[in-house]
Formats: sequence, C-alpha cells, structure tokens
Amino acid sequence: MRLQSVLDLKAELLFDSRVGGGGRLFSSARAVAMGTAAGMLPLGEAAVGRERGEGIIEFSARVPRAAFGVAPTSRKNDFALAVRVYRGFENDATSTDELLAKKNVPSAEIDIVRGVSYRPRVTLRAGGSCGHFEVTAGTLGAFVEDADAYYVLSNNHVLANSDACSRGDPILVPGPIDIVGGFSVVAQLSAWVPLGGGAGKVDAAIAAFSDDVAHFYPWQYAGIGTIKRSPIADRFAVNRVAKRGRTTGVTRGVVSAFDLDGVAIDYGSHASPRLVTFDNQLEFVGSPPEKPFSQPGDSGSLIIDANSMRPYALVYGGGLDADGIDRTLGHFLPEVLDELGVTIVK
Amino acid sequence: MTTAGPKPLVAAQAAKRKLAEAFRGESWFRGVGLAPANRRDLFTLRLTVDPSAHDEPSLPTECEGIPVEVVFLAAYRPRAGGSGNS
Repeated sequence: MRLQSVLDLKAELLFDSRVGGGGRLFSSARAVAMGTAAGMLPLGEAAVGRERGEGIIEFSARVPRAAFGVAPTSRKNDFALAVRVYRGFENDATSTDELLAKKNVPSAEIDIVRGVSYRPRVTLRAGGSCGHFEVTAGTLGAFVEDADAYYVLSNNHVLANSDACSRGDPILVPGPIDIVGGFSVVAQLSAWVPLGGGAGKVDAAIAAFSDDVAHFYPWQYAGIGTIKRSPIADRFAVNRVAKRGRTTGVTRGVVSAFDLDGVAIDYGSHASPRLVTFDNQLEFVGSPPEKPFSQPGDSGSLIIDANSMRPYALVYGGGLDADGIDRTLGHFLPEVLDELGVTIVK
Repeated sequence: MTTAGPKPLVAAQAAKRKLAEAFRGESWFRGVGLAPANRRDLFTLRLTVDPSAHDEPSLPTECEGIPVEVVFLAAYRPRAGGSGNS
C-alpha cells in the first residue's frame, strides 16, 4: 500500500476503535480498583490494578487491546498496516480481527504481531519522589541489594504505608501526590520493619525493582556528588552533612544531636494518635539553621557525610522548635541496613 | 570548683543516662541526647522539652559537670509529603 493509504487506514481504525466501535477495542473488566488509591490519582477514569497471577500493574481501567501503525515491506515505497495485539488479548480474536475484516484489508497488507507487551524503560535516580500507591509521597533514598535483588530504600511510612500494606504492593515514581501525567511502578514492596506502636526500631522499608527499571544510578546524587559504598561506621564521627530530597532538593546541614533517646513521633492522626518512640537517634539542622534541612516529602532521603561522602543516615521525621529552627530526625544508616539485611549496592 | 564544660563520649553518655532516668515519664520530656561541642571528641547534653506541657519543668543547666542545651519542641512528625506534617 502507499504510505498515505496506510496512514488513512490507521486513522480510521483508531477512530473506529475509540469512537465508532464504541470502545470495543478497550477492556474495562480486568483492572482491579485498589481502594482509595484510584481516587487519589489524577488520571481521569484510570485505576490502579493488578493483572491477576502475573504481578503486573495495569494503569488504566480502559486498556487498549491493540496498537496500529505503519510497517515497512521489502518493496521500496510500499507499506503495510502494523497491528500489535497486546498480551492477554492475543487469543481474543473478536474485536481486533472483526474491525480489520470490516476494512477489507487483505491479510498480506497487514503486519500483525500478537501478544506484545510494551513496557516503560525507566531510569531510576536517588533523591526524587516515590511512594506506596496509598501514601502521598516521600523520597527514594538509596539503592540497596542482597543476594537476590536490587531494591529501593526509603521509610516504612513512604513505601509500606506505616504497616498498612501487603508484600508486592506497587511503589510509584513519582509518589501519588506528585503525579501530573504519567507514572511508573518501579518496584514492589519487599520488606519493611514494622513500626507497631511503642518502642520502635527503625522506620524503613525496601522494594524490589520492577521489570520497568532499565537503568539506575546507585551512587550518584545530583547536586551532591558520588557517594562511597560503605556507610559511616562511627555515628559520632560526623559533623557536616548533605541530602537530596523530594521537597527541598539538595540541602546542607550539621548534626545537632547524637544518640537522642525518647524521641516520640506520631504516625497517626489528631483523632487517632499512634506514637512510636525511638532511641539512639540523630538530629540535624540546616546550614544556616534558619534554612530547613528537610521538609515534609523528604522522608526517606539519604543523609551523606559531607567530608567523606559516605552514607550516614536516613531521614524519617522532623519538627519545628520554639525558636523557629527546623530539626530533622535520621536513623543511623548501619542500623537500617542491618534490620533489612541489605547493603548499599556495590 | 570546676566550671561545666563538654566531656568525652563515655562521660557524656553516662550523664545522658542520668538525665533520662530523672525525667523520663514527665509530660514535658521529649528526649535527651548528646550535642556536638566545638571539639570533635567532646560533647554536651541536649534536652528536648515540650513547651505546651502543662506542668512547669524545673530545667537543669548542667548534669555531671556537662552543660545542658534545652530545645523547646512540641512534636516530631513523619515527613511524607502533603500530609500536613511539619
């Protein structure tokens, strides 16, 4: 076929499939709405769902069954209609094949491939927005590993919704509150240290990369530099620090307290408080102190020792003191890594 | 009579434990720790106090010869975005 003929045919098929066909090329049945998350995402009629049994996330309640385009042939200036039937619909011959039959396109003029599954090719960087699908957003702090997989590291209240979660829950980039257009499911929740109530250990969780992750930069923190791979071993040996977070970006600060005991932090609401108390914590103020080292949305940020560029701590909370100085809380990173059984990616 | 001043880690940690034992359970108590001094291997004490607590605390200026820095801070909150936490 001539190029223009194929383009016209493609346009007709797209129109018929979306309008004239009454949405016959779309399925609305397979997406499984996941509670309030669907309402939080500004994606029109889209809902977050899971394709049963495969652990694959579907983003839309109206899933196209096929894509149309122009395919080259072996003859110069000759083209075929490209049809790509998505995985899951390859045996569902009714709508796609019916629609093609109506156009009386000879089969020799159709380059059809069934069972395709296009995936995003996501490049992950530390220090940006991420979050469990039912939270607002936090920060992707670092990349860690064990013998089995690579993971993103952040807080329990960022990746595991403060214990209100299930293993395998989708982790989004950006975090739900930051979604304007598209988003990617970059990981599935793998493990978290329960916050519980009362005495806590650390507020931390990890999520294993999804198949959408094509590249990641494990040691690069834009605006700060390249970190070393082994964390600081002595919590008292640090003074100046830096971090990159979702809300405040790159900030610099100093340690204002080591070994803080009795740090109570409320993971509940005003109506239903849920106090968790941590000991041996680290606290930071900005440089200068009037400039906050972190703000809401920076939870999960990796705090880096500015002298050695070694990872030092994980942001999880903060508060404003009576003098108007914002104080950031961090867990000593070796304790976080020990609890989760992982190391910084080597 | 010696004046209060920063002390090495072990001495500062012992004083911190004493301070914690004295005040843990008080309605205004929000934590105790070590604050870095101007020399890397020396520390002072740090006491966090809730300014909105009803009972009037009698706050120490030193413990075991180590100065106590008092910070008034009502509450720490988690730092997820858009949650209204501060």
